[in-house]
Amino acid sequence: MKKIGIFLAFAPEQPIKNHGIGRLLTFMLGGMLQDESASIVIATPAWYKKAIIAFLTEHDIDVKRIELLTTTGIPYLLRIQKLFTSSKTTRTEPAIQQKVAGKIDRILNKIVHKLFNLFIGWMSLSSTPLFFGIGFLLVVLGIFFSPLILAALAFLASRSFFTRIYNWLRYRVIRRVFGIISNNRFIHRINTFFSDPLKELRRNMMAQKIYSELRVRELRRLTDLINKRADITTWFVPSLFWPEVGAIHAKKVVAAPDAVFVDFPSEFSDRSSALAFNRTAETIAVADHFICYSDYVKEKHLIDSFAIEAEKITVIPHGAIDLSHYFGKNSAKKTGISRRDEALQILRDYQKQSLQNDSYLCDYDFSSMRYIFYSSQMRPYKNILKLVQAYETLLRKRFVNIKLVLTADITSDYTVYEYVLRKRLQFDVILLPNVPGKVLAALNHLAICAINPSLFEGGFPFTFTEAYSVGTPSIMSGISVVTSAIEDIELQKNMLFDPYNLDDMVNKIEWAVKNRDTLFKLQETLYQQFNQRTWRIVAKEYVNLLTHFTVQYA
Amino acid sequence: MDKKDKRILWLINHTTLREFEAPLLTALGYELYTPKCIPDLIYEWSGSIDYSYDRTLTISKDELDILNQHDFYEGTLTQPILSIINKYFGAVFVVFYPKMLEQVVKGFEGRILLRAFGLDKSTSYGKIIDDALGKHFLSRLQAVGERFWFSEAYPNLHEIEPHTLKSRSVYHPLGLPDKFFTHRNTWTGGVNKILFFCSRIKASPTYYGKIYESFKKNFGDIPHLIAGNQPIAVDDPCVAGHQPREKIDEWLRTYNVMFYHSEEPRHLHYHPLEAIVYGMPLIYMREGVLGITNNDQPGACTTFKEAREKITRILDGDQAFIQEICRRQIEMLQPFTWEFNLREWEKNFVSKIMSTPVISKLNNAVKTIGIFLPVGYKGGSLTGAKNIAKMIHLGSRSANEPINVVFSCIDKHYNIAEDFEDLIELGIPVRETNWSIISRNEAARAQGFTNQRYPLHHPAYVMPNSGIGNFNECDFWLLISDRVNQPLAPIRPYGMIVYDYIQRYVPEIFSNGFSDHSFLATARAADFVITTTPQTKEDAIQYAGIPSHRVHVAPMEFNPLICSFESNAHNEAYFMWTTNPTPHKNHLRAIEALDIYYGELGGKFDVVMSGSETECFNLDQPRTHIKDTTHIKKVRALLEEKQNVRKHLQVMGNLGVSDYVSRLASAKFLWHPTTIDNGTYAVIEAAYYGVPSLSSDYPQMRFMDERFKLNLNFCQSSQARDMAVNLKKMETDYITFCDDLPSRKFLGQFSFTELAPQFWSLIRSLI
Repeated sequence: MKKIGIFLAFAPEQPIKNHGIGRLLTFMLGGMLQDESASIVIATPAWYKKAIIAFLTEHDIDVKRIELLTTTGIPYLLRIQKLFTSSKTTRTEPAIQQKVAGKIDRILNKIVHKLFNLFIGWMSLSSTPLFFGIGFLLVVLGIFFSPLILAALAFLASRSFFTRIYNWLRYRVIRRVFGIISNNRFIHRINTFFSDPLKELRRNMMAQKIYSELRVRELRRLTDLINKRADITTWFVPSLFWPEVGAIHAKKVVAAPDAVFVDFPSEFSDRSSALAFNRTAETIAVADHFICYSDYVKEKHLIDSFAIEAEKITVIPHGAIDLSHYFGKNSAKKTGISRRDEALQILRDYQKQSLQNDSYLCDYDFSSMRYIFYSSQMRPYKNILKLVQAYETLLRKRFVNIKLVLTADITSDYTVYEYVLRKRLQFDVILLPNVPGKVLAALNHLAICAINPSLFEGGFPFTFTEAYSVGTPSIMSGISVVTSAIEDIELQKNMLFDPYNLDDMVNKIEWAVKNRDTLFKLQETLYQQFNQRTWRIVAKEYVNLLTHFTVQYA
Repeated sequence: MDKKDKRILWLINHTTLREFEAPLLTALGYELYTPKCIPDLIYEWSGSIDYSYDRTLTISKDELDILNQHDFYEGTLTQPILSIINKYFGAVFVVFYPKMLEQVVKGFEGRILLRAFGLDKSTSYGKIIDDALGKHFLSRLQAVGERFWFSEAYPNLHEIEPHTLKSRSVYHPLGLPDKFFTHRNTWTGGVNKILFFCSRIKASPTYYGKIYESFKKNFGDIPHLIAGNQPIAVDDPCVAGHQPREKIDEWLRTYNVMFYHSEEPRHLHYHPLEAIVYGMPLIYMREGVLGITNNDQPGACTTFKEAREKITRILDGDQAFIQEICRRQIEMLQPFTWEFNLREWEKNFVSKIMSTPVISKLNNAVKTIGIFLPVGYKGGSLTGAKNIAKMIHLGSRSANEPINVVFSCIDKHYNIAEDFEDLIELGIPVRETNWSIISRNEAARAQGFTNQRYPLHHPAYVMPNSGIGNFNECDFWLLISDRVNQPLAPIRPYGMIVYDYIQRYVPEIFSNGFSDHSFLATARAADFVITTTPQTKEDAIQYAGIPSHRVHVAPMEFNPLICSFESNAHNEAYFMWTTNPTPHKNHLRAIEALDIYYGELGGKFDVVMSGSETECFNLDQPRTHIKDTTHIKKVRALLEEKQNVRKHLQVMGNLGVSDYVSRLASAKFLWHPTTIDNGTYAVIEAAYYGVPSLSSDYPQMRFMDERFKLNLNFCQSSQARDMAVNLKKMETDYITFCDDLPSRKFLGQFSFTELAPQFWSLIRSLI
């Protein structure tokens, strides 16, 4: 039996599915579990246990076949913090919220109605003794319960008072100073703070400090547990941000997606990036072996920047991603529903569930929407501002009537978001961050073309096979991980642009939009080339490498 | 009675239902047609095809063949099919398949019965119709009037439905076919367990999975068997999975009690009825369909606790109780018997529906259209709006469907007698209107009095207020342009004519912080949006987010400016630049182009600028207007700098019609350097007077070029040099371009009087 340990140390509020690592893990675990002889142990802090189980279940990974090694109990600080933020962060469906609010309102109304009836009943008495008797009783009761009544009145008054102030602020002040908001960084920050406290909190240095201290303690407990497990000789660590693995006695094989800081030093001049870089450097220092996804990262990041010996690095490229399983296998044959209709249905359901508070998208008709699509995180090197500018030229100078759909949450990047608002592009640059896999598949399928303008990727971008697997061609930036994988020069000319050259980007996108089918055909061989490399094969390479260490150091 | 009132189009394929209802309708004296082409989905929903009812039909074989080849579920009812069904059939039963319902409502002229068997608690027919066919469909259904019926199989189905369905509901009970009763009273009992039906536990975890869990929680400790198909196997020895019919019959005969969990008030399964037929004691819930109609049966329970007690009594062999249940539960089958159904259908179908003749005229409801111009436009835009009123007035009359038109313009902006003389002459009343803002609650209350049921997403709405009647006498509203400062309250069905979405291309035309959200929201709630170019149609779809089937392109008209003028009044060589002070007219780039033209390229022709409010660009008149926009200031500054251009530019300001025509007719050519708009009529006017044009290259101008055969010359509005070079080319070659212009006779075919019938037929098909 090959036993493989996997170390996961996400912070409690980090949703695993938003991370490249999360997605990579599902593919890998899926592949590893197909190998009957491998058994997997995942070590993670207790605060992440629930999230991991939910995540594995969501991706149809048999939780029973995975052993979870966790610390016990969640630190009180986190519990308290969760209590305070849960009302804001848990995404209760608006319908349910309304239901609850409706129920409370109904109960309140009922009480008021009852009291009113009692009052009228008293007032309609004709017997003098009874009338005064009840009056006297009420006075006595009133005195007795006066603290309670006063408190209730104060609460009601304050509630309506604060609601009024809040509404006044929202409708009058904010509208009037809208110009300031879109230009003022400080107000922008305040605004995002109110709209998403957690996100702001994470940037908040104080909170980060508390978290990191908490983390250190929790991970120490976890590594103690790990060190008691003599049966696992190698631990796989799928991130460079967890230097705490240094405390593990067994061998540590660390996945090194990239150390992108070294390519774009000026883009990462903020303090939190510097801290992140320190963590990366520390992790690199304690690792025994590395896995990269491309030769570029191996050479440029690990060997050139950190002087790691070449034999300590294994390059295991990604497999092809297939999103088509989100659509019914034979649904077209069985029900006559085309894949397009199916994708539209997924989008409409998502619209009903999650976009009802967006006044533009709440009743937008998706069925005829024509758009180009970029699925990515918001990172400086993702080159999103350039993409937005290229799109603007296409729409406003070349009159190409399409939209741009992004999954990156650009509202967290002041420069990009401010640009979109200033250029009044907010109704054409559509933001759909954190969408579930199904919606991602639907968005890929319905797009005219997938775009990837990134200045850097650790391996050949996922976006290509993602899109192609559901019938959509891609055009992308001609960065070295991309060009080195495409041998056909003609194809390179058609599907790649210089990500630093706006005109080139505009021209290529325009061509792709107008020649979608041609481009799709041109990319078939390339897709087949990637498609041969399934995640099963990739997983096998991981298992082989990891068990090789197991054998070597056993 | 018309023979066709004896024929029914029974567009349902459910096997068990057909086994009962088709013989029932035949027994009541009707001929029946059932569909033969059905999608796979219908097969999956226990559907099948049956040719046997074709024999009952007294229509020709050829016509029957045509119907048999048509897919009534997914297909479109084309004219040949419609003419057959409208000729031969007096009524149609439609199974709940939204696409089919939509088709039938669109074209069938007889009675339409939507057959409803109930849905689960979470949804309703109204909701699904809204989702599948859009918010407008229910109002269209309302317009079908007394021809439409909501034929409900249980008398409480309409309770949660919207008014349109509720007000037209009629009880047509659901019966059980004869074969259902073959095992009557064969129950013997003996197996001391609960028989519980729950299929698709894993296949539908959120619905049946929950039912299974709840059963296990409440009754799991009592011996039981769970019947029903399980496409995905369930790891539980009590779950039997798929079994042959004989096995199920055996259970129904030998198990001591059946428990029916359902608390769905509007949906019933067959198996509890089967238990009663067998004579097996049935324990069921009062909240469900059975419980609502059979409240006082000994087997009825309010809580699972009560159900547990009763089940335990039966399993413990309380014979008196068992016999009491069996004796009394038989009456629950009453509504499912042939006799009961025959009686009810005789009353609620034959007498109530089929004996009253239908008025088959379609959509004759709209008698008055209100046309609204919500902005104080003058000049060309006002003329365009008035022409729409005229086209509807004239077109409907020439089609012999005269319709009243009421025109609304904004208050205190016009001299009504002068500006609207032409409309008043035609007999179109003109009302000055204020647009008042109302809250969501007020809009909701107003909507409550109408058939409109559009969801109110926004905090505030606008409503026209004319002081008399507020246009409530109009059956339909037509809004010209989308310029309303809040979404229009959806109180009447309305359509819109939207000319452009310039703000999408030239965001500067709106001041910072202004949102066009109300324009888009108004368009989304409209029954239809009409544009005059295919490009704006595409903007309406992509930018405003309107479903493509609700956006239509109307024929673009052109009405020449006819007046007497002095030809050759102006001898100097010049070209015209018609514009106004908005940024999308691209003045800055145009001035740069002129600078290159007069400087580097040695251009010889002067340029004459005209158009409303263009005086603001005249540098000889010092401006002290505080109202000047930043754009105007920028243009003036640039002109100040480019003395070359200033020397050759004459700013005319707003010219009267005859002055304009006389200026235009003497020009060498016309220049239209705008960034983007919905196209300008100026180039057609120029062509009409024999003057060629140089225009910016954008899709709308390409469209006009093609439609009016203008042979325009194009330049790039974003490149000053390209504009300048093309100006120079016009200077040398304008005479040759004159030969390629369209004739006046050709342009005459686009006048509003010529286009009125075409325009009316478009509007008529939409309201």
